[in-house]
Amino acid sequence: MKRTPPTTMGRGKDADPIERAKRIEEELRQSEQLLRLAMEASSAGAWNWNARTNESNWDDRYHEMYGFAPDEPRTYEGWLGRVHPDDRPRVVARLEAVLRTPGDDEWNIEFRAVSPRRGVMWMHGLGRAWRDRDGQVLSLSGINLDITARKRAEGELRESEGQLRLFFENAPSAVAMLDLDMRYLAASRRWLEDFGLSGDLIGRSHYDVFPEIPERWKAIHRRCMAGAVERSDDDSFERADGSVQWLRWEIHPWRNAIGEIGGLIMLSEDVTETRLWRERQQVLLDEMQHRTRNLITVVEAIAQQTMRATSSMDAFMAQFSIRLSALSRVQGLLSRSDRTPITIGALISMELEALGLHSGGPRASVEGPNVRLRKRSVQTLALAIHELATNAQKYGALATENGRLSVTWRIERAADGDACLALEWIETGIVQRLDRADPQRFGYGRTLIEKALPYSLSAKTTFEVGDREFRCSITLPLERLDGGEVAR
Amino acid sequence: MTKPEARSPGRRVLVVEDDYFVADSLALALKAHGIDVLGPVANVDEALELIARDERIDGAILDVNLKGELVFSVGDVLRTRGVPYVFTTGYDASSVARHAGGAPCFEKPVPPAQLIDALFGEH
Repeated sequence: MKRTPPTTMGRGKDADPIERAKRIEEELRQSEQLLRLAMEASSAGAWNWNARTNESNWDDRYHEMYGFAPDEPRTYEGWLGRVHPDDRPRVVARLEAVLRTPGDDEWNIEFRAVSPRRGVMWMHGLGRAWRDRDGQVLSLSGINLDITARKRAEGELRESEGQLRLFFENAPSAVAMLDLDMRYLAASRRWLEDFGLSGDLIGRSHYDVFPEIPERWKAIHRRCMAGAVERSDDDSFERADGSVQWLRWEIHPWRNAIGEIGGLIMLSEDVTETRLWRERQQVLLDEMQHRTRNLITVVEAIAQQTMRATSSMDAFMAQFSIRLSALSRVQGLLSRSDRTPITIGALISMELEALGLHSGGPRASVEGPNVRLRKRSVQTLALAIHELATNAQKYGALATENGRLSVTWRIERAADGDACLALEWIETGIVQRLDRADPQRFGYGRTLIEKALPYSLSAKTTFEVGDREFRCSITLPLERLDGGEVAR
Repeated sequence: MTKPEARSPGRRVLVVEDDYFVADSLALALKAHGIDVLGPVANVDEALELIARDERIDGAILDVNLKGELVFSVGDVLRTRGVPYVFTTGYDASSVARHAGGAPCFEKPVPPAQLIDALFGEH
């Protein structure tokens, strides 16, 4: 305890030793009262250990704090028994160090104690050693503060901070929390993944992490810092590497306990993939519509051409529906063409099989290499082959016992390197009586082959009707396309 | 709207259409209206060739999708020459309009008279 410094004012009174003793006693009493008030206010308990007598003592508050019964003795061993076993070695080591080391006179230590009434408590121990001139300890005295409530609150805070952090990290969306200086306080793993980031963002500036952020977005951030909430369903973010990310985002300010804006919370969803799908879907829809409309014009043309060559409604219907079947077979082939590329061989087999003929049978031989057809040339070519096949069955080689059909094709290469698909359709053994001038026989089919194929597909064609023979040749230019050659 | 030469016969109209039968019937219909048909041709190269060769073209009917090839470059050349043209398409006309540079677009099938009307304001 500090001695009260002498005051100039009191010097006169000090002349009387009795007065002086009284005054000192009074000052001491006041000082003790102050100390007690301070102790009560802090709910601290005080203790003392006398090195000479090895006696411990403590005040009632200390006694009660540790949960001692009123009549329990106040001994060092009794106190040590109340220190949590896990913390005991550390506390004893600290006190022993003070005992051993002159100059190391004060301690300040936190440890757990176990009270039979209150269970585990946290104590804050402060104190000092009093030594003689040789540095030998005369006594130790200290106070203990019960800091259990504070420790619990700290633990809860740590826990809730940990939970918040876990929540952020594991949130199933890209979320980030920034402070007033746009520095990261938290970010979800998804945030890192979506933006291709790695490492710890905490403490780093958003604008350092993303130097490519446009002024437009910085303006949005400033508005949100001022209290605005902004969002976009479809916004592009051009990354430093030149790629473009499409984002759906929302930015809110967050407020602290007293309602001041503390920074921003950003939510974002990478919708690049969704957008791509939407675009692809639109392309598909457009293509479908195009194909459907075109199909209608093709049907219209077939109807007109069929009408031109038929004399009765019944004949028209019969012809027309056969041609429509051929057209619908091609659509099937086309719709599967992404998985199964269409070859000239497949097209010919399909048309012959539709008439109940097998390309490997004795009456028809079909031979040639695998040549893929471009989708856009399939429809016209299929209709032409359909016309050839139905004509063969109705009037040509397949209408008689001894007729034979041979369909062959090969790839021909011109001197300049351009390649062609050369197809020959030859019917032999045809019965002569068939009328070569029959308009039905050579109407639509002949126009298709002699006019439409050259016009639409730049094909070269011949169409020769003999007495007992029929020959047709179709030469289609080939294009080099992803590794293979494809008929144009 | 009546221009002095509006009713004069022998207008020369370029037809670009990839389907033979559609092109054929359109050409026939145009001829029936007294129009001189240039083409028809089925692709961009042949169309550009015709334009380069012919000094006089009064109008053009252009099918947008020519077996996968888009016809717009033909329209661009015609515009620089001040030749009116219209597009016909199997696509949605509105989706084509974006690339049409203000030229009228018609969804197929379209009656030929409408095309002539769009080109020359009357028929």
